[in-house]
Amino acid sequence: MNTLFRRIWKERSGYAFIAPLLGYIGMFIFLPVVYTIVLSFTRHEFLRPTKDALVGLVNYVEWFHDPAIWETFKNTLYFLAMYIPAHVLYGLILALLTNSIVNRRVATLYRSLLYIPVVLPLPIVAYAWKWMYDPTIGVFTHIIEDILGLSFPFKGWLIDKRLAMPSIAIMSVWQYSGWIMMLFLVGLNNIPNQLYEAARIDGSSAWKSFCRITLPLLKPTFFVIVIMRLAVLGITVQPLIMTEGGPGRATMTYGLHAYYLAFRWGNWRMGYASAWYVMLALFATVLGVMAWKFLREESVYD
Amino acid sequence: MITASRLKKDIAKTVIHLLLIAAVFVAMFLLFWLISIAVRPVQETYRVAASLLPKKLTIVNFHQVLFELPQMAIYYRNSLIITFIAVGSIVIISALAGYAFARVQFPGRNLIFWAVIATIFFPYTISLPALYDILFRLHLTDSLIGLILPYTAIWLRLGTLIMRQVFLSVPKELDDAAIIDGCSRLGAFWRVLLPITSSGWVVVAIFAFVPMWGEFILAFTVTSTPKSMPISIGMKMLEPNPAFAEWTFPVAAAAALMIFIPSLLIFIVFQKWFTKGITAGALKF
Repeated sequence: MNTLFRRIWKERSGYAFIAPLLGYIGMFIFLPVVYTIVLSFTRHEFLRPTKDALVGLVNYVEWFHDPAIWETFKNTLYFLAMYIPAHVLYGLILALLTNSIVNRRVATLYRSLLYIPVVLPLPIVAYAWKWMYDPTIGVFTHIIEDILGLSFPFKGWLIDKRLAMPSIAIMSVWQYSGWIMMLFLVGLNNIPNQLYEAARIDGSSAWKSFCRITLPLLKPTFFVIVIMRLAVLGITVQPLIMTEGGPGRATMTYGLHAYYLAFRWGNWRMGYASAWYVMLALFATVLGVMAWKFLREESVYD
Repeated sequence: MITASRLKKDIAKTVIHLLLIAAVFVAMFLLFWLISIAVRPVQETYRVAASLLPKKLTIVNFHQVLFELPQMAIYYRNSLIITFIAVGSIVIISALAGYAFARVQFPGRNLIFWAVIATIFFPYTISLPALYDILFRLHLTDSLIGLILPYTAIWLRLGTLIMRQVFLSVPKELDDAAIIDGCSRLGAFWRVLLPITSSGWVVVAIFAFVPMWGEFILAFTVTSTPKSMPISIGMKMLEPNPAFAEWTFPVAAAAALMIFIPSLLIFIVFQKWFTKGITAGALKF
């Protein structure tokens, strides 16, 4: 014990170096997380002047019986089912295409231009897409009906129940596939070239090399993508800006519903909303652990 | 035979370039379109008169954003103050912490480091009600400082991860030598390590600035008056609304472009650092 204290004292400068970090993280990351868990066990309604009461599992029981759970789950899954495969596939294609260009300057130029949507501020992009989708001023309807002369079978993009969620997914694919491309490029660069040469000497086709070498060795990249995309489970900002959950509740995602519970509807039921967020975090953790098990095991990195 | 295979190769090359040019066009389309809207007079935005390219060019919309919408200047100033202070704090704090995590052997080092990094995977949105309640109790809602402090905390973690990686890649003999020569730890950090890790600092600053400039949900929740609203919230106020007498669509497009400018400038100037940051931040833990 004495030696531990001596070590702590000897290396005390280390604690001084991380003190500011711990101050910030403790106050604005750890404390809110702990407080979220506490809130989820209370009847905390922000706009109600009465004191909070600890209510045990009441919020969680209500969560399990809330019909909005399944509705918002379904909406979120619908979004994810379109968005995740599309932007991973598109990002992979972009990575492979730019990687096949021999001239490095040209390849870098392509990559930079393709990465631009990623660095643009999300809310402004969402507003701009909202205008592009607009049936009276928007460019998409304009192109389809006035320039191509086709008839557009929907009322509009974001105002049509069937098209609203796909429209948000299209925007998200547009904005983030450049980022996926970069992740894949890093992964592709980590694959030793000798493998492809050996395969070519053995007479394997380009497609075969892709399936047997590239895809398996990109597994760690897929893992990183899955882990970093888990946050999308709580997607809130895009529907908040573009549709406010509408038309009807067609784009009411889990995250947006929880947000509205806490900050828009009724007395701002922060306690109940916190239960929603805790369940979301649990769900994301389970998925993350599954990804770790299935994608991480054969990782070639340390 | 040789020419046939070369022809095939040339065709493949051309197809790849054509596909990439199409992809670039798609990626840039939003910018093209916003520019084409922002430089046309209001009348040309009505559907009947609309066209992909403007018929008449004008800068009146930019003029309006810059000089006739006083709240725009306030939003812009707020955003600049917030990002300047928060990014500055992040760079300094994450460099200090990254150094300690890479170099000083204090007990509990790895536990603390991974506890901090693990929180990156839980987006701050899930603790938003709690965070709002805390800020409210501290009387920090609807103030610039009420955004600066949480923003610093949120993007500090990635910065720490990157800086630790940067310091690990510096040979340890360098600062050992400085310490033997009579420098204190802080002195070794300041005189020897700072200059050679400067590109790491740039990466940290970029990766804090880009998401912070576009942060929406926390600012949307915490601010309620223009005096503390950043530009991302200001856009909401400028949204064109047919219900109002004046149709401000080209003005809104001009405003959107002006909000894009800092992000684009940073990206163009620091392009190669973006790849570095992605490599360090995403694949090395």
